[in-house]
Amino acid sequence: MWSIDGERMSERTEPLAFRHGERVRINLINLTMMPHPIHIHGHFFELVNGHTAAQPRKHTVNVLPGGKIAIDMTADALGDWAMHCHMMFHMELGMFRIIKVRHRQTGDM
Amino acid sequence: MARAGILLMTVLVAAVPAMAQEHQHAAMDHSQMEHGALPPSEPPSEPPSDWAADAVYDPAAMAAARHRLFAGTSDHPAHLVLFEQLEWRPGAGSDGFSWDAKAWYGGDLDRIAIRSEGETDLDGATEQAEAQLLWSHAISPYFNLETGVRQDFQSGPSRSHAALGIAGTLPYWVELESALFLSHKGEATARLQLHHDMRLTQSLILQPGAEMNLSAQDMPALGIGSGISDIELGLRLRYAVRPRFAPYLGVNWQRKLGGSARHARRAGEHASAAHLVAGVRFWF
Repeated sequence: MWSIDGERMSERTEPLAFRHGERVRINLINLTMMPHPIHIHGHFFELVNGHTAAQPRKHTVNVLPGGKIAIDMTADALGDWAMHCHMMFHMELGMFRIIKVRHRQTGDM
Repeated sequence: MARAGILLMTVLVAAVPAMAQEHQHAAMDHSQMEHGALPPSEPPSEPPSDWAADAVYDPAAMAAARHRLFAGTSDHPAHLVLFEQLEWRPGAGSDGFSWDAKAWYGGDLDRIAIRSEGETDLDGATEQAEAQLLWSHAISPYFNLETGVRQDFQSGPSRSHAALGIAGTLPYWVELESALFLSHKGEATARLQLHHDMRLTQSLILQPGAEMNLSAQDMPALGIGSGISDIELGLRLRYAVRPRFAPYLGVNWQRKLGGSARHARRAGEHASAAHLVAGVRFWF
């Protein structure tokens, strides 16, 4: 029941793949009736709140029930990182993804 | 698979322009962009198949660790035993007590569930008791389909039933239990139960509840008439000493209707009964 994109971690091994240095926006949409504090390892991200010059830099953001939050993150740390709901009983039931940050490959634009 | 509709958290990823000077990166050549224009988004990169930790640690050990991680973030069996009501009903004649309990074991989507409810007088005669053994399957985020069997235990003739119901949470946190029953003698009955927890404070909870039983036919041997056979309204105020243990006081009112009321009066019983109740709601 606790999942991301409808799938538990155990059902989906495909990671979120980012290029090193890539600037990405992640939209977190909470379709549940509980808040989910989403935590990303290895990075800080900016909460897109309209104040472009002074957006909060965070590593965990609470997404309220029925809410949507956009975060902008620069994938500046090479490696494999965890992204998960920080309510551990949600994480342990599968609300968990791997973020893979790699150097740009030849063949990429 | 059956996960349609149980999509709970959605993540959309898109490349976006750098917002501030410190986030300029090689991927975007800002000098050639007009001010305010978005740089083109890159297509998503192919998911890498390698694992970063393998470069540092023994790949076999990391593979075993990943296996534990994936196995560990899956559907864990859990269980619950909940006595929604276990209560004393002092009466004019004989005191009685009643219970309404359920238990389940299983994962998110499929569970084995047991429901039991009943009421009895202290003079010994079990007035009414039943137990259900059900397979509970999640059909949407808030509703389970429950199929199984129900056995009645009571003095006099009793019944075994096949049961088919839907249980879940309606909007505004109204808890629903509904079921259709078909007895081994071919009699069809139905039941609808609703209750709602009104949190006056974190610990003080007022719970209004209602139950309605329906029957498709007249069953004089069981004292049940056709149509709406009885309704029950309750109001219970509980204090959750801790979430698992909450004593309560309340009122409960039952009324037999139509043919059921006639059967009761013919047997010398009242068609309606009101009780003050005292009990405890607990789970483990």
